[in-house]
Amino acid sequence: MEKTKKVPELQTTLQLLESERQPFIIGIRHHSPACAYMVERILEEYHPQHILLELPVFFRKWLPFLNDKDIQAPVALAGGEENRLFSFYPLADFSPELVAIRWALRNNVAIEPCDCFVERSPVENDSYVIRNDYVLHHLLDQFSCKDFSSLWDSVVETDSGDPWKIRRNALRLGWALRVDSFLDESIDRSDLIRETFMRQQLQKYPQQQKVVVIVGAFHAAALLRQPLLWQETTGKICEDTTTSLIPYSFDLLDSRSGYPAGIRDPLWRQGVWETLRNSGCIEDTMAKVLTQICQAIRDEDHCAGTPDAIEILRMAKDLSSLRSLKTIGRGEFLEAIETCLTQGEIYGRGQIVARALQKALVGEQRGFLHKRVPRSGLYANIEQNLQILKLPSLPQLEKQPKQLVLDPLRSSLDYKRHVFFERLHYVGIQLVEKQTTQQISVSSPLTSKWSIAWNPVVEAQIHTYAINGANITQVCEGVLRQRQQDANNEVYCLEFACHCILPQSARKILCKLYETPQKLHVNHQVLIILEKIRSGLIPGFEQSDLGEKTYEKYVQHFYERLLASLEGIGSKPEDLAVMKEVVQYQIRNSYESLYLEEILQRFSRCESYMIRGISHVALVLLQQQTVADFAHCLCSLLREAQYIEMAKKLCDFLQGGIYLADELFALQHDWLSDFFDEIEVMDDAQFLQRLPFLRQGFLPLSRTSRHEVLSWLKERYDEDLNIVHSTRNTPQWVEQDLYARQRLCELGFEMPTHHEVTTRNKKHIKKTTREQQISPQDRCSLIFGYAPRHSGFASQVACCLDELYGSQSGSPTESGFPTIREWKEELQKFFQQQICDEVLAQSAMQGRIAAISEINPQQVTASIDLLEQVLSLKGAASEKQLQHLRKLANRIIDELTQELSQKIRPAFTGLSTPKPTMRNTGKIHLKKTLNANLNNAYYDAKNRLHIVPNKIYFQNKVKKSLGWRIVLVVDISGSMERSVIHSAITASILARLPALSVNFVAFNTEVIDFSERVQDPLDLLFHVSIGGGTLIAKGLNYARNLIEKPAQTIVVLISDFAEGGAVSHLLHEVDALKNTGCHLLGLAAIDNSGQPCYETAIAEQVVSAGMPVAALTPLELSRWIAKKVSK
Amino acid sequence: MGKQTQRQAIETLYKKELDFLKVWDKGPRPKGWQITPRAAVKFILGGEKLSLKKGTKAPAKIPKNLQITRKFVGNTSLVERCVVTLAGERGLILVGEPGTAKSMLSELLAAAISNNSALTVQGTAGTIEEHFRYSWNYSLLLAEGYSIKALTPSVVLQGMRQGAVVRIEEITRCLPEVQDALISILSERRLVVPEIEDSTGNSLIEYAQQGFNVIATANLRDKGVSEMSAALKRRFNFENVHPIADQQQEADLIRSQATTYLANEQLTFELDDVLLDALVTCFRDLRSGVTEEGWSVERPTAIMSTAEAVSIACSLSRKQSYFSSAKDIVRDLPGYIKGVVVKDEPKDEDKILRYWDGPVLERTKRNERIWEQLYELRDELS
Repeated sequence: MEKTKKVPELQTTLQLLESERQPFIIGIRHHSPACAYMVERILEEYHPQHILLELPVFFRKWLPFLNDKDIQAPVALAGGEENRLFSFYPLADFSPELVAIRWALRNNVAIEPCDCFVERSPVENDSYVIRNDYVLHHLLDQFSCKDFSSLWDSVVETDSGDPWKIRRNALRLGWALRVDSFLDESIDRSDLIRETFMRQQLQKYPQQQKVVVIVGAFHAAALLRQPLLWQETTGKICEDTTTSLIPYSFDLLDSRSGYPAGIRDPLWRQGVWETLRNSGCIEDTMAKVLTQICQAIRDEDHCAGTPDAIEILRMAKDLSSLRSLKTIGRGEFLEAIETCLTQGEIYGRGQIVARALQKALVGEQRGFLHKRVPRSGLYANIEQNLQILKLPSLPQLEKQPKQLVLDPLRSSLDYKRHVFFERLHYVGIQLVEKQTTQQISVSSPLTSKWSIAWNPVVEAQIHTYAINGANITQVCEGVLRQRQQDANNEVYCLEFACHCILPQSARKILCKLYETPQKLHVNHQVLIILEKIRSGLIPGFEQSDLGEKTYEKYVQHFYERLLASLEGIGSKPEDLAVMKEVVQYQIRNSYESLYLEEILQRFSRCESYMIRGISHVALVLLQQQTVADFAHCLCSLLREAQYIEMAKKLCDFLQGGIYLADELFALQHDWLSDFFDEIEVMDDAQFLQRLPFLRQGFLPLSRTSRHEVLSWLKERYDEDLNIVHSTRNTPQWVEQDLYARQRLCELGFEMPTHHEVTTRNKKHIKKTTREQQISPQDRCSLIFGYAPRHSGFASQVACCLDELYGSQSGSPTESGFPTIREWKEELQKFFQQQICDEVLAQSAMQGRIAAISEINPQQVTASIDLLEQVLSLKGAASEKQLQHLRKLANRIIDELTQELSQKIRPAFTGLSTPKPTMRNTGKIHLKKTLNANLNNAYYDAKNRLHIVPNKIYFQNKVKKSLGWRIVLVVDISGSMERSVIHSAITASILARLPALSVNFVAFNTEVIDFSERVQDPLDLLFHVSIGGGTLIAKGLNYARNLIEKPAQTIVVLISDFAEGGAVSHLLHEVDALKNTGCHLLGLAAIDNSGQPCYETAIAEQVVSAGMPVAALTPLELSRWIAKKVSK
Repeated sequence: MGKQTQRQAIETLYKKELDFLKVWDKGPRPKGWQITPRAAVKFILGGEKLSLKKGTKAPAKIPKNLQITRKFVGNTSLVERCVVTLAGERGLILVGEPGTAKSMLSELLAAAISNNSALTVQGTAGTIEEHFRYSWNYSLLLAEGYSIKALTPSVVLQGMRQGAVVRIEEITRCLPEVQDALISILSERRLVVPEIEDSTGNSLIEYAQQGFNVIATANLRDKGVSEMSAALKRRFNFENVHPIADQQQEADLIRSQATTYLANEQLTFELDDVLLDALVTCFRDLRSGVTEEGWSVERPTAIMSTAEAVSIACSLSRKQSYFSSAKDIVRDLPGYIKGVVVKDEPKDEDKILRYWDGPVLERTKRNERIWEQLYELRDELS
């Protein structure tokens, strides 16, 4: 095309457009109150014989129903085919089209639609860029507007109350748009085809008649007798289709609801329309709206009142006049509200103001159809679908429900049925019910099973959902959009979109998920869904539906996110599952990720030994570590396991490793030989000390792997006795070596002293003096739970342990112990007291509650683990046992408290008293100053005493050492057990300090205040029952009400930050708390291995909302509090 | 060389423009204002060449046409709202991340409205009530007792007496009880001095003159800030100042600012566009958490402000000037960026490494020398 295009001049064109009478053209914009007002006034003045509307002709039959009596706006005209809604016209009172229709019906003037539907070219015009050389660009500059909408607002909506002037301005902007799109590429083909069609319709009317055509301002120039920037174009048009009239509502009409053809703030526009129509004053309308907004904000316990409203009105007025507008525009109004009400807090007040605006500007007004108006849409569509899919009709279904098993991947009919059913199912129309099939394998089943039944409830449901569209696809999309509004619902929505084959929505949801950081499990679930799509488990939803290129991108992105949130992982089963998934994923897809390795390296040194185990094994699998490294690590753990804490860690380590890769343990024999070398050289006492933990550690090993290991071990001992023998010789060799070394030293060689070597070897020497009663083979059998070959000592031990862990060899070695006491006595023969307690507690955990009563409260070694186990039994214990439990718990708590308080107390000593200072604090310390300057006093001539001060003292701010309040807000949802114990004990210690008062607020989805029990942690812990969901916002809200003196209040939130409600609420609560001025601290939960575990994505948002989050031990927490208090 | 002021006050620097604007718009102005709101907006945003209306009587010194310089890069409506707020009953608070030119905007506003940007209180943890109210000359006080002579007015009180805009920098760094001293000043627009009695035996009252108002700036995302009380908040209108949205604009701003700073030292700006562009890109990526290409980046805790970018640009340029043998200033860029990133949180070291391993590595595939160079310098980071 030639470079310079000739464009007719603006002024002449405008004149032409205005003066044209064949036809009389009114250029409008949909849903514009000013245009609606203008249309009504001009029609009144011009009084035409015919009105033509820019509305597809297939809506013709609905026009008579659009009068005042049969409908109540908003309503919507919908037209479309089976799976697609292509023509959708919401109509509100302030829509110029509806105003014209109503006027025509009132005045008996013929009104006709004159448009058709043309498929648009597939390029999505979302990113409409206004280039520098555009006419619009000049206009935007002139009115200093950002986009077309605000330009329209300032040029058309707020310029004038004169209808003719409004018309002129609207035509002007329409023309500018047309010129720009002409200059850009030439006008869209579909627009030209539609304009051709409209011109043809116009031809039908004789020249002498007064015809008004109401079209979008953009099209105006094409309808002139000598059209401008237009050329005749033909193409495929659609003149007929299925149509329906449905009631609509304001909250759907708002463009932010995601519905097509929406407009911002419909209720506000309704107000403007009524003001214009009744020639009222816009400021009155605004004042009314403002009172509503302030009221809504006050309802949420935030202050906003008349002074604010006055300031907003003044500001909106001044802004409008600064921008040379005739009346106050919506944009200025909103800007003024933001400036005066949100106080710069986007999370806190911003959210509340936004909610208030939603109420006052968007509204919830619903449309209504009178009974006379024909029913349409969904009901008919469902009937039709049943017929097409060869299913029984509705009356038949009412008599006889039907069961169906579908195989969507094989038959195309079944596929269509499946999609139809899935859609009904997800929308919530209970015409069909999905039968969950028994899952045999891990993967999802390929067939789906349904039962279909009809009853009046279903009919009611259909009518409820009809508001969302005219057929099941539209309804599906609509319902999906509504459900998307709920927070934390994205994964469900994604599933919804995929299963209902709504690729566009699925793409949108994915994009949304893509843009904002998500919780660990959300990322994980999204990856699972993506994986399902890839493997074709969602019938009909192809990988390419997400865009061929982007699928990989999404997978990689969510995978990266998942990795990023691994940081806060704990040893909960779900977390471990994620970890496993990640590693397997990495191996399967061999993505380049240095990051995972970095994390694993870090985890392999972390607190939780279960995670350590997993990380080590993962590193081996990813070939970042050799099996020998792993074996080395394991062996050193085994050596250290002489203390019970370390033995427990060894157990965790083994369990973690086995959880990740069972087969590695069975098939890699290298590490096994090292490991068992180590076990063989121990003496019986050392071995027995470790045995229960080893047994437990290997418990998750699968049966096949176990056999594999055992057979390897048998081979080792039967055929290669030499090695066993030689191992037994080692100590002697070592002794000789040491002797040689000593000789060398004596001869004057400098030998590096190696403490570790000597001490270890001394053990070996000692060992030679004592016989090993349990043979190496039997040791293996004991570890893996098989019957030992030699009876006697070993089999007695095996018998003891089988009581707890069950025997692997099928039949028990001997009959079990008749009573717990006997078992205990037997245990005590072999194991130390501490290990006995541990085993008994384990047994109690597994259901033998009586076992706990055998633990002697006086002798027990206090540990958080034991306390945790004791506490978890309280629900199952009988009254008598409970008494024992209490005794036991009390003793443990006492011991722990004493230990901790010795550490904590010093942090709180030494709060100083105020002293006069030379630093200028503003308040002079008169007494001290006078005293200090008395030597400079003199009498003047009038005998008046004067003082020349050269040292001035000021009062120091008084230290507020008393009256601090600590509010511990503790999450008691599942997986928080250990943190609750820690916080209860810490709370009780803090409560006994004179300077502090402590509140203990526990929450899951409910809030309970335990502040009165805080002095007695035992009582407190016995009353808390762990479990349930998490609503942090609720807990914080309660805490906010406890605050009396914000400056002296510390709110400590202890949680895993897996917020179950909307994150925005949580952030708002955090912000509100911060705004009270109190001190905030968020503590990450500590899982039972001491590893902080929390949702990093949410925690980060909480941090940016103003609450620092840290993982602190009780001692560190106390130091932090002490620092705050003594500041 | 004689002595020179390091940095001149805005109203001195742009005296010519202010004088011109005073004549340019003769429309009604709020009481106590030096120029009209419209002229104030023009003064700050600049842009077009303005000419006096025909027939305007103007002093001889004032030119007929004048190009107003653009002094603040940002949203037009933001500036309009600020000006309108100051014309009303409430004070103005500019909030936003550090380095978004809040203080500059407040300086410009004060210069435009009162022709005086010097009335400033710097808020710190050590700021006391007396900095907002009044203090005493203690020697005089002890010698002669309470009297007007012994009263030392604060900057705020000076502003009230003059009817000028007072700026309070970093108001949230003051303790809450100190901040609250402003409440009565802002709502009643007067200050009672109970220590001094006037002739009728009542306390002395200092009334604010027309034109007095307060512009405060505050960082909400910074460490060590104290929250404002709800009562005080209601006396202010809040404006959020955001980082510059457009990459090119930001680059231009950095260049012009750095050039100005360096010109004071008789140096020229030595960075080429490619390097500057890379610097701006890194800053924007780390600030927003997502690159232009749509790759996600982990945001560091530290604030990647434009001001920091300017200081890096200056340092690089200075190095080029003083050590001309140091040919390759690109070599220093990663180190400087890391310096900004780990400022608040040493742990963020990982994040910058990951940024290098992700987006920077990815960009090397585009065959742009600068990114290849930067990736080669990865070792500088660890």
